[in-house]
Amino acid sequence: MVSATYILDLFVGSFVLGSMYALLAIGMSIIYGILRLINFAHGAMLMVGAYFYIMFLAMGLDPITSLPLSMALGAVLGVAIDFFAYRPLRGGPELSMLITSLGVYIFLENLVRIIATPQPRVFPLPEFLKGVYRYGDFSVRVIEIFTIISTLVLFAALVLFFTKTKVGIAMRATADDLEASVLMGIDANRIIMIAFALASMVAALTGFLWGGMYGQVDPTTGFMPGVKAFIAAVVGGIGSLTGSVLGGYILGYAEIYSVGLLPPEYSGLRDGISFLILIIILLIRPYGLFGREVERV
Amino acid sequence: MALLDVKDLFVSYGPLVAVQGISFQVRKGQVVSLLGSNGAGKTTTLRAISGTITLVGGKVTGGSISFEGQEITKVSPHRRVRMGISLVPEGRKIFHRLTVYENLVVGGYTVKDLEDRLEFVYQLFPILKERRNQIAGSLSGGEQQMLAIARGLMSNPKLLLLDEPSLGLAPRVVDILYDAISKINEERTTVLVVEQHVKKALTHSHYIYVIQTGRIIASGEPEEVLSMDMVKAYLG
Repeated sequence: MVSATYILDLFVGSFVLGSMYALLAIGMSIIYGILRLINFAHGAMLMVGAYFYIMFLAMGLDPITSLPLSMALGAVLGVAIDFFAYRPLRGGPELSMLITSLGVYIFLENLVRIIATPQPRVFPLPEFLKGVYRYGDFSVRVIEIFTIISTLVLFAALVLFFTKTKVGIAMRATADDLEASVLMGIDANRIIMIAFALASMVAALTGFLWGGMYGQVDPTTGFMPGVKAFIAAVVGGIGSLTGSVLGGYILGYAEIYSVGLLPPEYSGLRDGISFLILIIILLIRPYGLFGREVERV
Repeated sequence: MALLDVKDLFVSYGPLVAVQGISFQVRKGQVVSLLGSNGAGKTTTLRAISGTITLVGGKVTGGSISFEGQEITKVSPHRRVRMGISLVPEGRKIFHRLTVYENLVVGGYTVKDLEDRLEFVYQLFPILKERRNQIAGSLSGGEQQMLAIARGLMSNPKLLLLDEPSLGLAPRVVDILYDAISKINEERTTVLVVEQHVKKALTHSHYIYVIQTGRIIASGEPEEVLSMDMVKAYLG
């Protein structure tokens, strides 16, 4: 018989993992919405973001400065990748960009391997995020609370950005119809740049949260979260922000609860379960929960 | 000086030459119509003027397009909007997933006095004000066309290009649209309209060009053009 506390533990764990998937999935969705590109390199941006944070700490900066700096540097890297890797391919077949994004992933992972060695590194969590709150049998870590709150704050900020600001609305318009948005005087390249900056910045933050949750990072850290975020985005309906968030949480809950409630010998199936959910949802709703059929020209 | 001066324009899609050396002018303050049947090269001409021809795989291969005396064939499409050229494309191309209001905000991306522009287009099409919070994709065909024109006016253009505004719409709606076009013109916006709907174009234009297989075959004031036998035969 499982206790109520155990269920509550699983609930918090799911919420935390789901939040991180959702953050990554949003970034993938923003880029897909505008470029129709499934950016496989997005997972690597999480890993690189975590390394940026470690780098700034090593340079002697304090955590409060290092986090925003690592996010800013993540944004710059995202824009640079778009400029050098994707922009030259615009107007070409979508497949070329997809393959390039795989290439960018491999490049980033190995670049970090060369610069920072393949060894896992301890992720130094700032003092104020290290604590644990206990209520009887139930305990929750400060980093978990921080992850959940920062995710929710970020969602709220993104919703405001996409519905209330001119640039945010213009980004949605560009995702809806690129040709028409150009006719409105929108510089598509600038909008794409903002999309990469935004998505990469959020990925870098996710890297910090991921490192903080699991205590260490290595050059392959971004791979599985990237795959999961892709599944989350597809389950939710890639291109839809609400869908991505929902997809992230569905995945987080399914993974943690299946591992937590199934007998221990099945815990190795957690990644398989993610793919099973993907397959089932795509069989029922081929465009995801919130997706709609992509119009082809 | 003409506001828009198209000289000996050639436009191709790969090996297909869609526009073969057409020349025409649009004077400031006028409503000018480009008439012709399907595939005559009308839409291609408007795309060349707005610069969006490259987005559909086409290319200006010869001639020149001048706007206010400045050659613009090399200017990127989004800059042309800032210069004062606005195209309301064929098939409307409204942003289906955005609300009516958001469509208009995006239309006014390049302007500062958003509120003034909104007031102007709401006055022109009061139904849009009523429906401002509705998702644009749920509007009727006529309302979508009104939205497309209103959105095109948000940038406060000097030259409004309209591609088949009456296509597929009920006569009553077409009347509303052309009344609006007259009002827009009274507000000193120059209009270049491409049409298959000959009657409407004739009664609302100052000057007419007739285009056939990529060439101008006739031009003049409406009565003049209508009296030409070849035009009667071509346009029916």
